[in-house]
Amino acid sequence: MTSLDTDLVFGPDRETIEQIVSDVFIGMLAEEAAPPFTTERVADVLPVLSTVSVTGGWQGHVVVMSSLYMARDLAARLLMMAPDELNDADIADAMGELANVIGGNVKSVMPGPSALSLPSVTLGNAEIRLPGSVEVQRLDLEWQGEPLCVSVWAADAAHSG
Amino acid sequence: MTVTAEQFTFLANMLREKSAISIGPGKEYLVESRLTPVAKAIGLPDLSALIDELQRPFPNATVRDRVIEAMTTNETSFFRDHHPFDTLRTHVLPDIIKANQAVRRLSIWSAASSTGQELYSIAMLLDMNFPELADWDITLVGTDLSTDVLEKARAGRFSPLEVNRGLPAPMMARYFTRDGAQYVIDEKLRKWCSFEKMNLAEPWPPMPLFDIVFCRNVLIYFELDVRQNILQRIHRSLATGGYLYLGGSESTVGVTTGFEPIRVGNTVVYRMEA
Amino acid sequence: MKALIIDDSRAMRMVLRRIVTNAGFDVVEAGDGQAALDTLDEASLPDVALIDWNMPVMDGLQFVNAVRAQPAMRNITLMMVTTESEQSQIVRALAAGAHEYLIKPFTPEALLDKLSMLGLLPVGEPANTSYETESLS
Repeated sequence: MTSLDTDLVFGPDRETIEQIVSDVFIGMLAEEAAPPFTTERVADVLPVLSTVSVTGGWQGHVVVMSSLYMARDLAARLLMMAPDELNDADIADAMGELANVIGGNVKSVMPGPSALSLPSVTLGNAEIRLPGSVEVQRLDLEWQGEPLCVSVWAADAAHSG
Repeated sequence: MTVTAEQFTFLANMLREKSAISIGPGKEYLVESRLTPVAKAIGLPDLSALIDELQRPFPNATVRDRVIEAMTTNETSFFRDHHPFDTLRTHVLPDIIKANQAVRRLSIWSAASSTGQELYSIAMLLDMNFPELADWDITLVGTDLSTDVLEKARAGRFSPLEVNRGLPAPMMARYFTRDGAQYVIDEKLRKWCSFEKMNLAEPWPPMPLFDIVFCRNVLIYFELDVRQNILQRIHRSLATGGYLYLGGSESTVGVTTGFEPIRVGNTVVYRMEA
Repeated sequence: MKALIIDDSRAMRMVLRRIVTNAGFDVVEAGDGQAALDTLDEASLPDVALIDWNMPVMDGLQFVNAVRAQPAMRNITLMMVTTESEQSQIVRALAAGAHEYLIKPFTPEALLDKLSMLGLLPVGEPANTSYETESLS
């Protein structure tokens, strides 16, 4: 891959993604402020992956990754329910909606017009594999002792279409 | 210890009485997240202990004020409470415009302007509803104690959460431009509004006479004598027949003379009597 | 008061439902614009519709167009609730006849504020309180 090709791979800048994730914590998760973002990766592999894809003026994916406990806590906070009242579908739907809101905001700051896919939530223990894409931005944080990561991937022009 | 229903009711009543904040069921998590830090800051283990403290026979006024401040901090928003701005548009501005027809001048002061939303709301309201003022000499001033908020106000940049709150969508579409994930208010309005540093409780710099002063939800943090002093000085900075807006739970009645309370719909405004 | 919540995300429907029922609304839900149109019964129309933009079958903008084309439905307040946040999208929605626009993520207070501004929240307290009932100042 030549350096010219890497120039074609781009995504939202750090400040923008931080603003988006902060607003989600304050708006939808009833926090006073977003938990501080760390500069180190909180984990290489996290079991819960919630992904949305953007196609059009910009092509890429937004992945929200968390531990199981974090997913449950996020769902409880988002849905305003007690953690033990939640079933798996509630947690999956909540994680899907978080990816949808974060991804939707990423989509709207990137060049358009473009379309946002439905979220896909998976449980597993593998690293993210998004063929044809490269990670262009990553936010790590800890909330209530559990890790969360928001990762933005952009389609690698040299390999796609 | 978790907060009991009685404790929550006590807190809700206190907040409503002292600061016109209304908290209903389903808001417990928000109260927790705002007030647990206050509890910890004063060495108490949790919110329940904090409420115990507030319920004492001679409660500590500072603690109470910190609780109120924690519940009201950062609460400035565009067109906050919206009713006062309705009356501004339907009654107060038409009255002032009529009075000032000859001089074609209008001055409005937003005291404790914070991050600027109040003054910008006034600016948008004027621009959208009063085209006849296009060639008037209009002064819009915001003052605050804190340099940080003044800088933010001057920049006119707001987060999506901030533009989401209180701002009618047509105004969002008309007066804001997106820049990354933020929204910037139009340069025309930024030029129109000036923001200056000032402490209400200290001596004021020389200022022109104002037709309208907004001083909402800031006097409650002051002791009565300071409040009286500030209101008296506001009285002296208002042109005769000028108007003062206070917060919903505040009043000049019993505090200072020289103001006539006028009820317009859901709002009370105070008209300066010479 | 009755609210029609239209969003293909069950989680978002739950969130909106919770906020508006706390404010005294009855709720009807639909997962897309077409299903939402099917719920509209002239005998008992909702007072407000909270409308997601991106949905299968019929999206939010198409729903707004469909409702605004029917005189019998003119009293329904139409509020978009969406991640579409570009200026051009807001202008499009307002031009199609949406009355208000709420960007996701939003706080419950932001939604309640907009409902209050539109006159849809009960005017509870007397003049000297800052907010309508149920909303946090």
